[in-house]
Amino acid sequence: MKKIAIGCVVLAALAAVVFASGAGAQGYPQKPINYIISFNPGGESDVTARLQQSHLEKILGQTVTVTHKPGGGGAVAWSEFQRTAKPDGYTIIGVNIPHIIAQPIERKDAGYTTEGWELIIWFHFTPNALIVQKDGNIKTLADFVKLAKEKPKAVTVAGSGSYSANHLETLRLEKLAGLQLTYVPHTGTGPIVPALMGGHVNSTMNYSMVGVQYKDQMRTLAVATDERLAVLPDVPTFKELGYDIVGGAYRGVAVPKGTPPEIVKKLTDAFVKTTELIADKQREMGFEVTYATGKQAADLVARMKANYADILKDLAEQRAKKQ
Amino acid sequence: MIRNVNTDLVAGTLGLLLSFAFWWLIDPEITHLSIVFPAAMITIMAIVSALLVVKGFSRAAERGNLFEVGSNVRVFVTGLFFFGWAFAIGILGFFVASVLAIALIALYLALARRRVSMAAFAAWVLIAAGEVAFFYLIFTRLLHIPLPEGWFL
Amino acid sequence: MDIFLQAMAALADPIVILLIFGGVSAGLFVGAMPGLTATMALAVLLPFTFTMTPLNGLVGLGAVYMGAIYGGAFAAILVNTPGTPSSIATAFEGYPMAKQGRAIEAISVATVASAVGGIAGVLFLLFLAPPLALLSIRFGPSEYFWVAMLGLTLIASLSEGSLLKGLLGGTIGIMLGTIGVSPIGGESRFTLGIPVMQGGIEMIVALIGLFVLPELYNMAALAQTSLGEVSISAKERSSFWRVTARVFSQPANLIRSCIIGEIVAIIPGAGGNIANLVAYNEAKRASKHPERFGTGTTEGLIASESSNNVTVAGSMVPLLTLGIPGAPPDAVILGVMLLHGLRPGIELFTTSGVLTYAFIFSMGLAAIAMVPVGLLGGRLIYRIIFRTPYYFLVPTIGLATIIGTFALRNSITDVFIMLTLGTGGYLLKQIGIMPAPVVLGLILGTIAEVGYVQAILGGATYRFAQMRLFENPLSWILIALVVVSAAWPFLAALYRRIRPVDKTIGDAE
Repeated sequence: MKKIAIGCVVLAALAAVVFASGAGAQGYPQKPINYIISFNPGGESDVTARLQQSHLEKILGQTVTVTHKPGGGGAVAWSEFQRTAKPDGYTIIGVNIPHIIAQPIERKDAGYTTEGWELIIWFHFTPNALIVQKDGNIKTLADFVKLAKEKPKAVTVAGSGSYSANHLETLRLEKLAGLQLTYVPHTGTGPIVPALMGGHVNSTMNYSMVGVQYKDQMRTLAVATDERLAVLPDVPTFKELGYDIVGGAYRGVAVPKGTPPEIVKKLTDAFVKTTELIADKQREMGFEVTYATGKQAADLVARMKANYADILKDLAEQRAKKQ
Repeated sequence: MIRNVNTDLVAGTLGLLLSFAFWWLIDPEITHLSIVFPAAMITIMAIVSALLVVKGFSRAAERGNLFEVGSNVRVFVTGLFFFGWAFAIGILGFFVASVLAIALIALYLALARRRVSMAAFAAWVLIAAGEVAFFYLIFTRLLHIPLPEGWFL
Repeated sequence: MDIFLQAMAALADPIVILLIFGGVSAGLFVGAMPGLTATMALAVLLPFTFTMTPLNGLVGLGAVYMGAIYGGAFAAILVNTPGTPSSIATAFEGYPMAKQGRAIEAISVATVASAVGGIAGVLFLLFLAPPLALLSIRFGPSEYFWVAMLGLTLIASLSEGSLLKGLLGGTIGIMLGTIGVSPIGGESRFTLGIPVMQGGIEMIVALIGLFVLPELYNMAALAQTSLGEVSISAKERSSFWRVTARVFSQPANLIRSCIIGEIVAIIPGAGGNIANLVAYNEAKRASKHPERFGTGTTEGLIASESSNNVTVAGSMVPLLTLGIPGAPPDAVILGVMLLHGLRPGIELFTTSGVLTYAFIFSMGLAAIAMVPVGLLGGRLIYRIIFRTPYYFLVPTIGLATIIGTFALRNSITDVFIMLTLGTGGYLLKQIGIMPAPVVLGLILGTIAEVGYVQAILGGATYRFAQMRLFENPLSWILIALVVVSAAWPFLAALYRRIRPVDKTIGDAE
């Protein structure tokens, strides 16, 4: 007991020394920056943040801690951030399109607004892609459309979450191709992979990186981009095949509204540099590295909001009809 | 202590109240996909609770003494301390709130069996500070989990 | 065989050995702290692995993972709080043993059983990976639903006394689990319009509250700790060789638990949290003295601890062969592999075979390293807890609980949820509703819901969408198991009535 007690006192003294050494340098950043990820550890947002972490630390000359606040498809962290985070640049948060567009429209208690923060950057993009089993009898998008027309509602499309990029893109495909599909939401990209391999769903509207990572077991029918992807050169775009479908998920970073412009600038520069430094690694993992900052970043949100507006409206009408 | 309570009846009533509460909280605009499972579970909960109530009125009803172990006042006060601790973290900050809470809980519980001198209590505050520092350092420095700050650390 | 030798040679490096011991020790701490999970520890370590060679990075993460799943046993045995959801059943037997002054014995048994489980998992991964991986993708929505139902039949054996109260506890757990955004449909439910409640009640938060707080209240009520003093004879019984002999004197139990652990491990999304409960239940069912379970039997302890450590290497079967993480921590390991340009699949075992096999072997070494680390660490932790007076133990465990709960999602709301559920759990315990069924409901409710709703979506064109649940042969097997498991208590009672004379013939094997 006595030994433990003495040990405790020594520790307390040590802690005092560590706390005292915090302040010192001048100008932002003076203390560690907290980078909040609103999803689980090990997810794509987390892995990317950890890749960025060490570069950010070098550029900013400060510790950057990645913390997780998962829940509600991101909404828990986002609502708390908009409510409580101080606009001093020491708390930054990862944000996602279309989550921040769809959730405030679809949920009464989302607790945040799409525009309620200052965007620093959108640093990468994962386009949607329609993917099926490699050895199945669907080889092309035409096969897929034909099968879905023959058997309305029988073709299942797995996707990650509801009102997500995957979900909205599936609805767009239904609309443009005149199909009736059955969208089966999953709790993330993870569980979709075995579901497709085991034949429990016929296809998945997913991110192109799934098609890259599981090239051996899966066939990507089409990607939702303007031009073909460098990592999947043989896969046509939806546009080539006659369907105007371009979309996917963007990941970025935001700070609270009212953060001083100098700090926003410093963070923006740091993130731009970091994005360039990790670009190769990101491309290998199947991400598209295209960044948007400042006004462009806000414009991107506005554009995507308009892009999904009609589909979200359709959804709301369907719901109203069912009541 | 509360003697000879019909626990089946209590549990059943509680279950019925809970099922009613959940049923009442269902948003009428929610879609089928989101509510089909909870609705089924609420029904099962209600059935199980109803069976418990029926059993409570039968001869097979279980009876038992509630809160029969030790001092219930101490349980109640300890509970208050815990909730107060959590509130204080938001106001005082994690470090200060926890040192205070640990020292005070230790003092309160120790008084049940022994006397505590001022000197001893002062030592306890230091020990508490050491304990909290141990966890504080591990979490903030090693695991990079920032702990809440308030007026103080 | 050549590749095996090269892999072993790759491990004969002081850095690797250091990483294994360091990783296991760090994992042990993480596992023993309620609220700190293996997944979180691995995510925190992820950036460090960028600077390491792929092998060193993977070895370190594997060792932490192994240690974390085992470390949960310490808290379970010493303070009746599963440090991770993988050691819930460990608390059922380990804590009663600790109360009887057999804490060291319980820790030693858990250590040896964990090591055996860890090695068994490695063997499964080495020799049976391809067929097991094929089995793993056979699990679709309807199978998940039936697995969850099978898990819920455990309520019958977990609820001491009244089955109805156990069922009520289970449904309370399931309903608590439905709070927040629905897994399929994405809408908020039962949140009372509070944004933070969209995140729902995290199972581990509930686990901590429901198990720890009643124990702390008990200590406060009695103004004494509940750990018994270790007597001389108990010390002798806890010697390493005796304990090892004891563990291996139950070969049927070990083999059964390891197989259960492996099967649960390859089901993506299910891991040690379900494996330990199922293995415990089966051990009880097969035992000659099921009535002694819950009073401190080594059988239950061995079943729980061996099965959960099988899942560490076991869940890597679908990960390494198909790139499917079998459990949440595997997602982080997949991330590391992808960052180093290693793509799961056949070439992992051929082109980069040396690396892969070295990684697999290193998990076996980590399992062995748990024995010295665990036995020493266990004695140390026991001594600290035993010598700390009750009035310091209560707030100190409180501190660990609060900080652990907070750290899980960086949420002070979770701390309040934990305290509220724990206090509620203390009250429920008074009227005979135990925490175990509630936690079981929380673990399995979401799995059941996702499986059910996905299955009926898949059956959209059927006349009755529910028919989809009864289609596949694997579902039939699971349904049969559910029926047998649910009817078992009645069958056992019937059997006893028919053969009332010879009480020892209750063995299921």
